[in-house]
Amino acid sequence: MYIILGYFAGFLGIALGFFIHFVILANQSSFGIPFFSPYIPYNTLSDNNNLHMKPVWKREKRSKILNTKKPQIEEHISMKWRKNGKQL
Amino acid sequence: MFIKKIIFILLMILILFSLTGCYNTTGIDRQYFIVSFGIDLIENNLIKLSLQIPSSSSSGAKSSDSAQASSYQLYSVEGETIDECLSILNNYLNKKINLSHCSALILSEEVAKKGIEPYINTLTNNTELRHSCEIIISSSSALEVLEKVSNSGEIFSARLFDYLSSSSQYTGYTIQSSFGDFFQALDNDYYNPSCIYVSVDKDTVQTNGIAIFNKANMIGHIDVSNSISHLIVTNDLDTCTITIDNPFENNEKLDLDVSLYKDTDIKIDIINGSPFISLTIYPEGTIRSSGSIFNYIDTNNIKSVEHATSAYLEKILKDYLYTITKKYNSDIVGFKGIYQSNFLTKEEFDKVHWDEIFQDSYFNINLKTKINSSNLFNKE
Amino acid sequence: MENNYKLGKVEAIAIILIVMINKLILNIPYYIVDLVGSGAIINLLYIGTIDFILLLVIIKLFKNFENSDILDVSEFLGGKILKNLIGFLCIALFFLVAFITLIDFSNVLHTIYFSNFPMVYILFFFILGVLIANIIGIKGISRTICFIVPFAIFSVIITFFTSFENLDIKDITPIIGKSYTNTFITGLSNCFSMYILVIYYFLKPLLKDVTSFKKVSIISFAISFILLMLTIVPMLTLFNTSSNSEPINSLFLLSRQIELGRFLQRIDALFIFLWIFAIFAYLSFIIFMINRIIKKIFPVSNEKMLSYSTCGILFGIALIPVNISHIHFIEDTLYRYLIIGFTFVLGIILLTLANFKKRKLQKNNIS
Repeated sequence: MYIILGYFAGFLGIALGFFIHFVILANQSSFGIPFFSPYIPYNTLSDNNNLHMKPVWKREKRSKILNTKKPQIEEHISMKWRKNGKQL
Repeated sequence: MFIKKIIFILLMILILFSLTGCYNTTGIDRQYFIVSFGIDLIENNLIKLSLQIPSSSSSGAKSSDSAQASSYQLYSVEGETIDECLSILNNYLNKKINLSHCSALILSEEVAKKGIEPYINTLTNNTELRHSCEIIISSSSALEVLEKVSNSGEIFSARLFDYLSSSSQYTGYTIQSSFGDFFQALDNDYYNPSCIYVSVDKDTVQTNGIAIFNKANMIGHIDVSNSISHLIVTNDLDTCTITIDNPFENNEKLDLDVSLYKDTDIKIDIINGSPFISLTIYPEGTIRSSGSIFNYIDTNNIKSVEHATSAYLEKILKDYLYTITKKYNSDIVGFKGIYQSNFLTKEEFDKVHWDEIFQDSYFNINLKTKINSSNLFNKE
Repeated sequence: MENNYKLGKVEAIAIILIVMINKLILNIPYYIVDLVGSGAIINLLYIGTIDFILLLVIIKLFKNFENSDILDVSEFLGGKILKNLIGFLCIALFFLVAFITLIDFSNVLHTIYFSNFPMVYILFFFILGVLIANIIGIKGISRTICFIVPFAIFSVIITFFTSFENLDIKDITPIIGKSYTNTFITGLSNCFSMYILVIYYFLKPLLKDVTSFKKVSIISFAISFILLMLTIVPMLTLFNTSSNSEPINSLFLLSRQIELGRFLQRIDALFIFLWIFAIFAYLSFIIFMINRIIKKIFPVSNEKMLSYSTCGILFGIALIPVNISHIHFIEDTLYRYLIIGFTFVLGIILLTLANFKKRKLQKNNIS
């Protein structure tokens, strides 16, 4: 499709195709989750669904998109033994 | 529903075919990408446009016997305007000429003295020409320059033009001038344009200073020592080599590498109706060679060299500054813009009538020279 | 198609920013610099302050009207007649804005890249994209805008940083410009540059969380203002007080100068691609707003056909044979004073009178 559009109108056609393609995809959702999440909409970005994930022991909250009853999985500092000499 | 979709798609394709205008675009194989072009003036107010086009390898193999065969072809045509010449050449060459990869625009001195505004305006309005294309003024004809460049043995001529302008970084004998900068200088009214000035010498093209313009007309050129001064005043000096009289030995010379360790300060006042321009310059030097026994560690020796350098630089700077004011009356540095910064509104500045008083400027030069050391030996 | 999709905070900010970026892509910064010359920085700070005060006034005046836009306020003030009148005015304004955007950018594309295309073809492509986006709905459009905005901002920032090295004290002085009256009195008409103020009049009902209206408007205004400054300052290197030439598109000319040695040259081709995207997104949003206003004035049963008709009207208006002098007149004169008239005069008067009426009604209810 992009080849045909590019033949007809150069990169204007490709930009048109890309724009419409993007709008269609952005409108879709799979099982209630928007297609481009977690990046668009931005508020779905969390520790657990990102390109760069935090280490397991740092993931303290569940994803917002799941709408869980208890969003906090673990305490703020779960590995207490790593804090040298501090009483918590 | 399905039939409706099919009909819709067919209709869309039909509409697109009927409105399409893309099938007759010019492909790359139908275009000539020129490397450089030159403009000369001939009789009857006509111009001669010369183009340098890379030739394909097949034609090069047929036509050449010697090892130094040129891989470029030159075409010249006469006409009244640039676009007329280009369309004649399009017809002659059967391919469209494309200026997207043009690396240099060469104008002969005659063309520049007559006025280059029509050519610059035509080329600025051209969507293909790059901003970074170089503009060069030649003392001989542009065609001669192109011939020398084509036969220079350099595989890529575009690099040769790049070497010409970038030579200012280590010789200081010229400036870097691009087409976009030239047009901007022409468009403004607070400084005049200037560009590289070259001359043809036997088989080579070499830089020979800076061509000076008053708006769109070339009024003269300054030589290489004045070019060094120009670069010092405009803070564009990377490094250059100067030769001064040895303060310790008569009839002997001292070579120094000079650069600037701080930006030049320029202060301008109007005293008795004339601009008084005070420049504080911060050159830094390294002694390359003295030709005789010399103790670089001795503070007194260093101070003597500093004085000698300052004296030499002051002489060439004064020569340059009075040349551009008294002889040419062309502000290629931008003193007008510097003085303009003292005012809050343009209305107040216009009352000074700077253009009328610029020729009567007088200068005061303070040099704070620093000689660091020599290169490999501290004592000889 | 979802009729009741509400925008989140980030989506609303992104929409305001795409509106601002589109003004920068067109020749608007050049008109600002052309009027005031090297005093553009002082002038921008001055009109930025005035526009910010206006924004705070709008936020304050809208506080009594939760979940209402300017049409609901005019209905409250003067009934259906005033609402319809203001609605027609808003439709005309949005059509003018869309027309200017479309015709200006198509002209740029036609001159620079597509000289052997007929202009109709370029216009048709834009209208087609806008039509399909509007049929899909605001959800897709707003998320696409969220995607495009960072890239468009990136192009503006890159242009600024590469032009910044050429900036000299000579370009930004005299700091006040041509004269005091020119910068501070004649320069007041540069308030049209913050066109986003028009959008704030319609934004409240679109938001998911109406209480975030203040936060969204202030953040988006601040970022838009910074973007405007980042575009205007490098313009001064090219077109200061004494320039004699007028470009077809000033941001394009600036981006033509970007080069990093031999590796990165003519990056304006990539930027044009980004800007085409931004224009598509912006036009889709404007048509969405027009559809929304029409739905408020008239009872519309089939919304899909509405998109077809608004896009068709826009295409028809864009086909009126115009040359560059007409476009220049519309952008420089008509557009400038209409925006100022709408944001500073009409909107404020309507909101103030509506607030007075509400206070009077509340007093009558109490007594």
